[in-house]
Amino acid sequence: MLPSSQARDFDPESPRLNNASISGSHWPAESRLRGLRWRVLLGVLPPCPAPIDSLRRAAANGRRRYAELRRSLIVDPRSLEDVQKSESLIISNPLSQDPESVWGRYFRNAEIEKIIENDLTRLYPEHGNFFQSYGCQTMLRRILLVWALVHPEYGYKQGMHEVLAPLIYVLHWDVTHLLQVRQRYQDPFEDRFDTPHENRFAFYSERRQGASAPIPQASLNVSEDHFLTGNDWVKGVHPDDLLLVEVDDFGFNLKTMVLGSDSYGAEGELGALLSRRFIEHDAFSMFDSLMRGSGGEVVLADYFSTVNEGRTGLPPVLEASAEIYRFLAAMDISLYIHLVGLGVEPQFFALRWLRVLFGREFDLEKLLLLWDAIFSASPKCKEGGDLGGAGRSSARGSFITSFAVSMILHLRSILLASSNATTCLQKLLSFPKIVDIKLLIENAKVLLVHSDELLESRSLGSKYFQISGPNFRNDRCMPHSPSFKMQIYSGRKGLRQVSSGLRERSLPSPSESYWEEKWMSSILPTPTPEQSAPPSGCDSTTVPRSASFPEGVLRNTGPGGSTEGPSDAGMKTSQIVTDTHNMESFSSGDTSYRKKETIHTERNCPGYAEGEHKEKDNVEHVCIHAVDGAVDANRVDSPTECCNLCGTGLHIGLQVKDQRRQSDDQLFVSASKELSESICTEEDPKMKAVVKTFRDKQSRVSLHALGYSMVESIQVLEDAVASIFTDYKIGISDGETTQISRKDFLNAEDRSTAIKALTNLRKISSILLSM
Amino acid sequence: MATRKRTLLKVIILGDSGVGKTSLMNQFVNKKFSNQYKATIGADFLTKEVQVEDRLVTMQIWDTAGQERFQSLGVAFYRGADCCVLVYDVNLLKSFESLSNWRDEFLVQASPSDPENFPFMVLGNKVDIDGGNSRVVSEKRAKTWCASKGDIPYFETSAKDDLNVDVAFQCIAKNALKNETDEEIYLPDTIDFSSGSTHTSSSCSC
Repeated sequence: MLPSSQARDFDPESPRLNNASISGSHWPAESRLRGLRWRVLLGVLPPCPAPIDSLRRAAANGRRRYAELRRSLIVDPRSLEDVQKSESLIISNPLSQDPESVWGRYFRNAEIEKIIENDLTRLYPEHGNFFQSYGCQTMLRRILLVWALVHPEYGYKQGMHEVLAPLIYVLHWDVTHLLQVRQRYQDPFEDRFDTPHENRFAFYSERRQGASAPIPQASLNVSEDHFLTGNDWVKGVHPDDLLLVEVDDFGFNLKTMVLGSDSYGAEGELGALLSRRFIEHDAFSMFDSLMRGSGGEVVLADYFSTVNEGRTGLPPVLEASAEIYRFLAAMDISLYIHLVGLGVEPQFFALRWLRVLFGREFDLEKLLLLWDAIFSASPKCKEGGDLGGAGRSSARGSFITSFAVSMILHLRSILLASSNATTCLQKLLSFPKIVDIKLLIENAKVLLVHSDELLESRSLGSKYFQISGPNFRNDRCMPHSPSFKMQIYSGRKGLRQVSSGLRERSLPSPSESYWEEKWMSSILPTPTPEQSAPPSGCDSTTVPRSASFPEGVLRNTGPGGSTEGPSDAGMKTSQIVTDTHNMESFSSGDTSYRKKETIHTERNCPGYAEGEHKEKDNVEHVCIHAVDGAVDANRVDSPTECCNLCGTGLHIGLQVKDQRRQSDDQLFVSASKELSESICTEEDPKMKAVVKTFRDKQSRVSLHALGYSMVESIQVLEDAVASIFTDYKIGISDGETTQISRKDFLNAEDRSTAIKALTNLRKISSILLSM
Repeated sequence: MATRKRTLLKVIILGDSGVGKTSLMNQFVNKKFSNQYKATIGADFLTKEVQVEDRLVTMQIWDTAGQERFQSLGVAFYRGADCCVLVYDVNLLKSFESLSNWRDEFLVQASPSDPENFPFMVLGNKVDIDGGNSRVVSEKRAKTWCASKGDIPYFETSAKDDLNVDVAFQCIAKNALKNETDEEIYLPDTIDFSSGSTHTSSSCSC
């Protein structure tokens, strides 16, 4: 719990908070010294372990830089100094036309300030006592103005203020925390940490004896101290600070905090790590680093830019949104196809998610936890070297993408049950407030690991596919490369003509949505296996999943078959799927996929597959329950509920006729047999055969995927038709719509035509499935 | 009944930052006013069922960020629009002067089949402030501008006092619907799942 209620008395000028607010607070582990941690994570302070002096110097340098910028950029023509600096009064007067004159700059700044002000007055009204206080507003305004002036290419854009605000908030709490500690130990308190004397806290311990429980000695055995020798100081520490005695992952503890913040260390007062006077300076450094993505991280400022300067000639935020869908497609093809089919474009909701780093979707308390995870997303995730590709610009960027997908998957069943774009967007734009943010973060991490596995298998694939020609490797196996993205977008233009002819007849909605076109185009190139069999045919396949699904199969079979042996493959998979239920909910969106994978695994490593099969049975068991009882898939707070969620997905799958499923399975078993047999041998000549077999299977599999998602869509449609009739009934009984003839809505003829059309669609899908 | 095909109307609200787009939308949909709306990031929307003559339609009202410059939402966002509402603050001249820009940009992005007759609507908001003493754009001036742009309907509103909000949105729905029936002539074979009927049913009159 964040002590947000205590933010009321915030005033950056005042030396300390009032006593009442300090005494009642306690500091949960995750929020302790968060500002300090973020400064390290954002690269404002050197990474740990760093000597206090170097931390202090880095802090001082950042502050000097900001102070300098502020002095030179924020001009006040009325102040004597600025007037003297300017060349002459002839150029510098309020009526001067010269934009570079002091007055010209002053008026320009005022204009920007007005825009900023307009947003700041509406910043976090629910935490108004803090963010709306005069001191905080002034600080926010100055930082944003200076930043906009330093980066005229970006300027100030709506939403930037909400990126900055939490930074100030955490810095403020660091300082408050320090004040609290200081108050506990009285002045001159630094000395107590400095002097290597055994009993320097004795007075304190004595004083506390009556008031609180004796300090548990067992917890005081601090073995390592990175910064100073001698650990005896611990003995006199206030019980509330015990957690701070030990050095955290960042090398911070109570001692760093105190010694880093005295006025006598390196750089003097300017170098004090936590200082109320420099919250503004530090916030600027953090904001600047975050926005510009220092250290090769994602450039957040790009998300605000509407200039078409991205790799694909689109605004970067559109690219990032498309990236979310691409990732979703790799994780859950049926949900992806569902959303795309309805015309739910990712930027409709992701624009807000990305720009303020999910700040609008969660309350501040949860947001800070999420930002902890975003900032600390380690580059370890892409140890595969260049495999990460340019599409996933950074560890932070990847995590943001995967978290967004984790959010979408959280709403999976509701989205699949929605039969129109409006409902889907409504759900996505009003993300449930009551949600376990930690679970979402964990899920995002699992997804990221999973996607890295996919990448790994791709690298394996690309090794094989190199034989079949460079085109194939470039365009198919590196979906993260810019060329792949280019292909998506150029594919759109190229296929517009082809698809427009069909659109009117077969698309569910008349809108000229790009995503619909994309969806269409994914269907068009694959009506016959021949078309997608040659490498060039694959170039035109624009749905990423058609690539990633078969490779997803490879993930299971590849390493097991060719390098590590069957049992290893099983182990590996089970490691990835740390929580099988969890994982199920992500990848079992499509029963048939899951089933195929299961069968496939069975062929390679029987021992493991048995377990997997059982697991599978469990899931089906759950889903039968899901069919029977009402499942509240809205709440996915535990693995069991995740199971429910996937159950809903399976529920749809189970509706498919058994016969269809059997033929589906048979086909796949034969396909997988061939595939695994050929993969097991590592000889080069056979690799070509693998490629060929694999690609044949692939086109079949993608046909299957299409057929399958068609069945799913039909199911959704049928539900929708049914619910619409129910809705109208309800509407009529409300009495509001009595004017509308009952006959209109319950027209049997109408209904039977609709049902007939759906039956036809079903036939088509069954043909697709049996191909 | 052939006209029962499309029950969803997409309305897009545009205008400078802080003129009250979110407030107007919320006043119309939720009958609530709050001083606590945050700046809109990107776009957000609300839906409301309204009765226009004998038809029940769902209005999907998109509230956009005042600083949003079209490109980031993609063309599809604007193309599906049935009506575009331009909002300005009667107390802020600049927001009025921006109307032309907003309108032109919208037409470029949405590229409606008949730009001359695409239904727009202009709302002069915040007329309640200071009892109207601080307003800088007169009703006459606004109406002149509207007339010059093809007789755009104009309303003076106050989201805070719920003045003219309902009337304006009713008018929006009516105009959008008028436009929509025109469109149907061009796209007779479309399927709309939201209404539960398919193109095959369009021939039967119910």
